[in-house]
Amino acid sequence: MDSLIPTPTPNESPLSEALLLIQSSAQLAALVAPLTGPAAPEVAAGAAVAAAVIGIIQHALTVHQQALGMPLDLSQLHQIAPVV
Amino acid sequence: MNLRVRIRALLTAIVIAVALTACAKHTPTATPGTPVSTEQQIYADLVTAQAAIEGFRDKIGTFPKIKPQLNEVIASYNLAEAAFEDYEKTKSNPAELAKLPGMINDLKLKITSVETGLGQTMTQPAAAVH
Repeated sequence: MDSLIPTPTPNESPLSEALLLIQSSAQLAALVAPLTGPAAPEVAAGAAVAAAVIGIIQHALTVHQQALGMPLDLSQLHQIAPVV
Repeated sequence: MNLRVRIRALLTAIVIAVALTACAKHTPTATPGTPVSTEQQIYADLVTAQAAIEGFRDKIGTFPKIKPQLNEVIASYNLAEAAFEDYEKTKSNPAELAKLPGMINDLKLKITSVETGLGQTMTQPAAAVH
């Protein structure tokens, strides 16, 4: 299971800290979900959402550390279309 | 094949798998505590935000409630990304670079607002909400 306490990362920025906050909430939700009662479908769904969030944030934070150690590559950046 | 040979083969396979995993994970990362330039930090923040946004976009069906907040994050990201690219084209106007930390801070605030929607989704998933 992922640690409840976010792993300190070098050169954290306010943005990465905001992501760590979301990750902490998801980790807490994942930890608490099984304790809230019998394995009801909504509990399992909440835990699945939490797991998805943790995965997304962990990937983004890994990207952050890699980007800090690499030369600037503007081809990696692009505009993003809104979700419809 | 006797049991001892099988165990030895299994252990060898595990050692190789662990070694390959360690090699695959060896990617350049920042040295802890090493100061980075403003440009590098902004670039890292934008790439990070992009990765997070695309992650949430890909799984929007899992948390549909965050769509409005996610679109605000996308709008804020697009502004900052365009401003950063404009600055990088010539690097002639420091005022353009000076605006970017504020834009990144706005992006951070928008990302923080996503946490509220996610919190509701994790404790009251769509299946349980009427």
